[in-house]
Amino acid sequence: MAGQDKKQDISELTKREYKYGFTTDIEADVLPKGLNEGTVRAIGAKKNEPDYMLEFRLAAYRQWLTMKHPDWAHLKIEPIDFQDITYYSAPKKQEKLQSIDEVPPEILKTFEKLGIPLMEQKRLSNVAVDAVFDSVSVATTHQKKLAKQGIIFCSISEALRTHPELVKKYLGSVVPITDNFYAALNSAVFSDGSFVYIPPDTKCPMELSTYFRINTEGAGQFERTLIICDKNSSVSYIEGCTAPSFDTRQLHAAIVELVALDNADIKYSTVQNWFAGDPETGKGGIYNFVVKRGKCLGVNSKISWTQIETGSAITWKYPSCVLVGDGSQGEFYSVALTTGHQQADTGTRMIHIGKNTRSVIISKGISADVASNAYRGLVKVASVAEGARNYTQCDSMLVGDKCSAHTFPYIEVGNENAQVEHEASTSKISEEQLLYFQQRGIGKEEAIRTILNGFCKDVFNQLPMEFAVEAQKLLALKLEHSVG
Amino acid sequence: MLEIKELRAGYGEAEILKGISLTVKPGEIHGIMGPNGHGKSTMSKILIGHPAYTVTGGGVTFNGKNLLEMPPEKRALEGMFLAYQYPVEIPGVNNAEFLRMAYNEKRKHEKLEPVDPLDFDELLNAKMKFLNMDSRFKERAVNEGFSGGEKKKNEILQMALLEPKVAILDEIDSGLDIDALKVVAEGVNKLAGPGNSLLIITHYPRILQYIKPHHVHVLIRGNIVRSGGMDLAEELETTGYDSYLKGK
Amino acid sequence: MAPGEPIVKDSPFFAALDRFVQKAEFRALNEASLARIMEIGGLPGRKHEMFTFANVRPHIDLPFQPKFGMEGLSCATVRQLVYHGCEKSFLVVADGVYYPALSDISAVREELTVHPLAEAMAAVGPRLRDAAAAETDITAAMNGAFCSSGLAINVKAGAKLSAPLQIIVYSTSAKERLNATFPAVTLDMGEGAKAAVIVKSAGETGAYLGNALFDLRLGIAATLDWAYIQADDAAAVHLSKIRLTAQKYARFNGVTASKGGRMTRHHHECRLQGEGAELSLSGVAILEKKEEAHHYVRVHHEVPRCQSRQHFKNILHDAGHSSVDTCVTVHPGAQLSDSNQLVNNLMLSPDARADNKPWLSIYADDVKCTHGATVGKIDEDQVFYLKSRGIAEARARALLTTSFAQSVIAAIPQVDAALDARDMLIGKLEAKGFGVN
Repeated sequence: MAGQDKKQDISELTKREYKYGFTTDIEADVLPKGLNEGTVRAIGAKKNEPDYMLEFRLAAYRQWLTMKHPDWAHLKIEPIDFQDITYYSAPKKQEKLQSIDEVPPEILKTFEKLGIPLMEQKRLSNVAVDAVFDSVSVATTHQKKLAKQGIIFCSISEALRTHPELVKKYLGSVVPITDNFYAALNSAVFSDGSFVYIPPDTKCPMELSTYFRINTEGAGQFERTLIICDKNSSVSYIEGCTAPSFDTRQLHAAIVELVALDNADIKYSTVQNWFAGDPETGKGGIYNFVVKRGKCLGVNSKISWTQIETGSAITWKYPSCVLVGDGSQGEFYSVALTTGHQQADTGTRMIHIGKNTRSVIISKGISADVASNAYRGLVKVASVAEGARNYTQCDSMLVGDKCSAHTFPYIEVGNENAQVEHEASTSKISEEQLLYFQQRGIGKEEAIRTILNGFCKDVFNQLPMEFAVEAQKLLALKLEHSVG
Repeated sequence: MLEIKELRAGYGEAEILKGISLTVKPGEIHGIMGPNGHGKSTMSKILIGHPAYTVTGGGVTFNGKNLLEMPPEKRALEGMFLAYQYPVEIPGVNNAEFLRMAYNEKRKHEKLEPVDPLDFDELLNAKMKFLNMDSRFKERAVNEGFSGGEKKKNEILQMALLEPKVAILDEIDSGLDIDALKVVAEGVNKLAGPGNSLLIITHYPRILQYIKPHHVHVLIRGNIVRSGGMDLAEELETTGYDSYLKGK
Repeated sequence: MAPGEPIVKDSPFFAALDRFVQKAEFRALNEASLARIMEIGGLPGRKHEMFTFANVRPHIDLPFQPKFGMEGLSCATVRQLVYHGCEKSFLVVADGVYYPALSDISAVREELTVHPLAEAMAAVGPRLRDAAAAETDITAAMNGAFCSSGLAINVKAGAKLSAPLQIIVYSTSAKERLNATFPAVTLDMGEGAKAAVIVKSAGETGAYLGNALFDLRLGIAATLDWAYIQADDAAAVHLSKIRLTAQKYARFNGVTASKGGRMTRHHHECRLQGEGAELSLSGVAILEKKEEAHHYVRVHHEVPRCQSRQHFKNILHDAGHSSVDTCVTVHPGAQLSDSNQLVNNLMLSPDARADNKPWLSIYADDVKCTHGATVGKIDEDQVFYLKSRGIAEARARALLTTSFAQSVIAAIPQVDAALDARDMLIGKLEAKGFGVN
């Protein structure tokens, strides 16, 4: 049938290469593969960490040894050999970088190639960037300007030394080391990440951003981000991720902890485009197993997660909100796209504890080719959470008849004054819809982009402008060869 | 303007059109009549380039160019328009934005500057007024939740905006009550002119009372078995298709 | 799926198994089921995905006494349970055993055949055994492990039952021991057959454990209206498993009205196997004190063009606890599947608890699947609207509460059964001060 042939033509014609699949040739300081107490101590020593951190790491490592790899997700995960991973890889540069000029030029070029200019310049001039290359933060921009307002934006390694009181108080307070297998692992071996503190009564004047890049083959990336937003303050934070195309699996097991005090407002956006593996064979790609959780500790505080998940062989994460403060709000906006052999089991947990807490969940899952895409979300209203409200909408779009979409909501309500609503639907991009556009003179690419934007607009609307545009392009590009 | 020669085409294994020839000149209105399942809708789908249908023989030229070689959007930009029998719903895509997108694609094709949303809104309002349409059409998603009549009006609105050279109206009267039909027919008549042609595909002669064709063709079992003028449509009104179906 | 906790050999469950006297006809089924229980890994704990909300273990790992049949059940007791319209079309299963002498099917004798399950095991045994060997629900496997009696019903092809068939499942309670019954009912609907079946589950005052299996097979274009009125004593534990397969154009319309109790759990496993099959499943429960009612539903769209609708409603007083755990799976190739799931919970007490898992698993792209769930109180706008029309507040609330449940009850086509469900459920509301009149 003609339709079939056409489908094949298109898929061959437009097989796009992963744009970020290059590696940077740079001398790296790499720990031998494998994990034991010595590895944990070595990471601490390499980073000149204070003793309290080593204790934290060792406690986490011992906890990890007692835990089993979780198996409840709707994912086919090849067994991971935790002794075959490099837990520390850093660009060889012993002394601490004093300024952006000291960053090795190869790395600067890498980030430029990725569209993240580290030199404080042009396009993203109102965005402060912390660049994490393999395991180490290589550059943080705009630090001085931010410091004038008392805002701390630095690598977490630096914060361990310069702000121990904040780190001690909050690190592990949202995601304890006992929380789960990967939380324990990350707590034991995390190498770097970003730290943000917004002092009281401060609106962060620019977007803060971390850009993650895995460069070394066989290296795991275990970064750790901690953001604390003090009373009456607000911050918007963006994270982007890419990795070179390797045939081997790579593990990315990060933790992000957010703490919002009274009336604080944290907005955390992710555009994730890790290497997804070979679209035909499913070989290689990143295992993106991340624990992201925010605690709305203060009254009327707010934490909003927005994620655009397009990359990784497997995405397994549930950016969550624990709504402790009365009147606090949690939001989760997500677009997860899986194509080729990609798998995703992602969603959120909204735990209502405080009175009159509110949460919104908008999830859009798009599945194509032979991919599997699952939304899993828990809305829990504790018996003390008087007047809690939740609205959940999770929609799936299927492209082709070999993929699958799953919706796994858990709704547990223990308070009579709670109001919880959940809606879900499925849709598709059909050949008929595309033809309708074409019949009106609009090309296929434009048609796919338009339909996707229509499907995802509630989520795109939450992203900062330039990232929204980027996210739209990314989605259309990734899906183009799947639709015929 | 449109020249169909010995066109053979089908869906999957089945051959549905078995050698159709038809010439449509500028300004002409043609009625294609016949019972359901005899190839009327297949013909319209072939003309717009539906990927599920396959041409097995013959050819079609459109303004001297080989129509069958063009991808669907190229055909549209060259001035081929189909008012769908069952317009497709496109959830989440704003109708006004969709219309502007289509309009600007056409302008781009004609090497004209795209129209900005404000100017387009003015243009759209004028066209909608002309078709006696409610402005809330603009705010809704393309065809989503539209009633049958609203969907048909939306098709005619697109035709009014895009000003095609050849417009195919596929069962435009199905699902319309008599008043809605009059409004749609009136709109179509206003759009018809010496420079463009209409192909009206219909099972029932009723629509032809309102949009008078110059030529009427009867399509049976994938062949045009008879052609004539308005009198042929009137004859079919009383006799139906039985006499054509008996033979063979 | 997290495994259950292993069964220890000296557990009350095994003690019960020791007291169990197997019947020859059922040996293969019993053994396959027991093997399956061991294979799954024992009785379910709270971590078992299937029992996250319904903690059944304390209710089944007990020194119960498998009981088969009862003496001295009076005609009068049975008569009270027969619905108007079913006087000549009812079957009595008492303490798990079918009693032809107490039953009367004279009105439908031409259209169907009924046999004690033991006599029909040659025909239906293999399928019960095969299903038991693949059973994922341990409570249903338990039915198979202890099953020694029941019913086999065949509705002839093309037959239209002239009266609804009522199946009365009656249980007794004893002070000195916990009676447990494990009946199985097979119902085969021939091609084009049409029937209404009402199951009424009831028993004596006091504790007992009822664990029933219904294996329903709908042939091509067969239609079954199914009402399940669970009216057991508040101290009783009621577990049911309904296995359903539907062939081409078959239609199943099922309603479960659940009084609740110490532990009530209904498991529906529905497989739409023929194109154009349609399934409608609804349930309503009104719970008070510490009552629990749980629905576990798995619907499989195995072929194209099937339709499934689910609607569950719960009203929760006191420390009532309901859960609705449903999943619709659209199998590869099952294009044009159309499904929806809707769960509405009305919370009337600070101690009540409502849990829901309306799941979807889709492996085909041209489908229409929706699901929704709500938990909340009575809509204050509606209360206000009624008040503005001169209706007193208490009455307005009562009206809105009863009408919430009424829509599901009204889906029971047989008037008498619907009235019974209404009295059973709305009666509870009225006792709580939600009387409309």
